[in-house]
Amino acid sequence: MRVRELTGLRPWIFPLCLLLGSLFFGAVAAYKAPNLFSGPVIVAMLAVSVSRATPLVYGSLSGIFCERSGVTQIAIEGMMLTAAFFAFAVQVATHNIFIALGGAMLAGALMGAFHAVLSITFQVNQIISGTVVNILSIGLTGYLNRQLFLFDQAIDVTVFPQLPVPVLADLPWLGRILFSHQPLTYVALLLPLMAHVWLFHTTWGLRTRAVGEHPLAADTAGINVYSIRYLNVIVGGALAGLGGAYFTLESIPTFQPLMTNGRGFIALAAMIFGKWTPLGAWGGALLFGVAEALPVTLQIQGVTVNYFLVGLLPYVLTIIVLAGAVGRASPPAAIGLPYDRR
Amino acid sequence: MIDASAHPLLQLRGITKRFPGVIANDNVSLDLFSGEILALLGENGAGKTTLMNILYGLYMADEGEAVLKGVPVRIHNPRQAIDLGIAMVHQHFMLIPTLTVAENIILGDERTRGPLLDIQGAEQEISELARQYGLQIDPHARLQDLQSGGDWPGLRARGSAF
Ligand SMILES: Nc1ncnc2c1ncn2[C@@H]1O[C@H](COP(=O)(O)OP(=O)(O)OP(=O)(O)O)[C@@H](O)[C@H]1O
Ligand SMILES: [Mg+2]
Repeated sequence: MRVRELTGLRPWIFPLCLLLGSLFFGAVAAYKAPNLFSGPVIVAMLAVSVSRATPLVYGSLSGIFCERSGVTQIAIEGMMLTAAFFAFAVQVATHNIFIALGGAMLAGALMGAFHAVLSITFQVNQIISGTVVNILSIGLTGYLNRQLFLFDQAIDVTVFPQLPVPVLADLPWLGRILFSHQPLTYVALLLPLMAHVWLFHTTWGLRTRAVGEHPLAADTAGINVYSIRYLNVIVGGALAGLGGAYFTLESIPTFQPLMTNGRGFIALAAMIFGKWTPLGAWGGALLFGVAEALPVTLQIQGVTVNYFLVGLLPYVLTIIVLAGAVGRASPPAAIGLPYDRR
Repeated sequence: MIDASAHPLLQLRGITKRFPGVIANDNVSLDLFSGEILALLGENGAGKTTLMNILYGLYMADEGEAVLKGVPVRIHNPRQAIDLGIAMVHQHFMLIPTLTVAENIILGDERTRGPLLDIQGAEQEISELARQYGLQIDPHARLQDLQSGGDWPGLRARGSAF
């Protein structure tokens, strides 16, 4: 459904409304808390945005890997949640944060493999397969968390330390915004560029696009549609796993049920916002990151707005994006269609 | 020059392929000799495309076999067919609208420079070939932006050009 066809409005009306809304909101906030728009506060907010965007970057790249090969990926949320749990559990077991990170990627990859088997081999409807993963992850992590950790809270685990980049961290403004973060956030700043090169400038990337667009044509050119799809969905799972690791290895050193809190779906919106391109998705992730950082900043600044309402901002933004308001999204043509030849 | 005493380059023996409700190929056999150009004639729905798809590995025959240079071969997918030296120009476009001309042509047989695709090299070569044959092709254009009919037919040469 296209908003323009539904309402007769031009698509840019919506970002414009959003902009005007934020300006109005900003004016009220500026009146209530005059130092809100001082340099340091904005720098702090953008730094938080970059950090909050991290799981969204991994999640949206997970979506790109899967969907560009023609497999619908609505299971980012479930893969992240599973990985967040296993990152925590593995760290409790091994006291090694790097092994924990590996555990998160492995958990994500396994969930990806499960989604791949269901949707590629058994040709289950891919929305249903993704929903199975999402529901399974809630049950699995909730159950294991209750069984293993509920009565055992004094667990000695930690998160990755802040690692300011020498020299660059001392730059005015940028140093704080880009160069004073934890490792997963740094990787998330580089990964979209690497994914861009992968998708548009490597053999694997070209084949991915071909398979997601017209699998029969790719097949006749001698490309194994199934192996590309399997590979991409499993790698996509591992990427979602890195996004999940953010929650328990970078954000807070403990697992809470449902702690991904819809970030997988927001990541999906970021991917759609970016029209299935890594750099576009990156922009989307940063936009949503700002939307998440805003309420935090307001709270720190002691602005008395309804925190609950402002906290809804990322979700409202998601709805607007998913309603197709921001430009025409054109998904890969073969998305959601199982490939089958006799 | 067909040497009748020589072994056929390719034999199809007793190929049968059934689709639900139709027998598309019913015990089809043919011999193809080196240097021979063989035309397969038949009305619409006779099963010509089905037979070629079986030879190219897109379909699996229910019965029968292909013998290439005296060796029975079972072709499971186009990759195998290509590796056996079998190329196919399809009745319907087997091109991807969102990719560029060059990307469509190199797909499946990509040339690389280090870890990256050598798109520039491919584009140069395609322009060169297009000039030789008097075709107007911009290798960098996306297929969906080309006018069908006008610029496309040259692309059908894909199988033979590379
Ligand atoms: N994938 C398929 N599933 C079911 N039936 C099929 C399939 N492919 C072909 N057929 C049927 O098999 C028969 C042979 O079809 P085929 O396409 O091989 O004929 P053809 O000789 O190439 O015809 P044309 O001259 O129209 O190209 C037809 O009855 C067709 O409907
Ligand atoms: Mg035909």
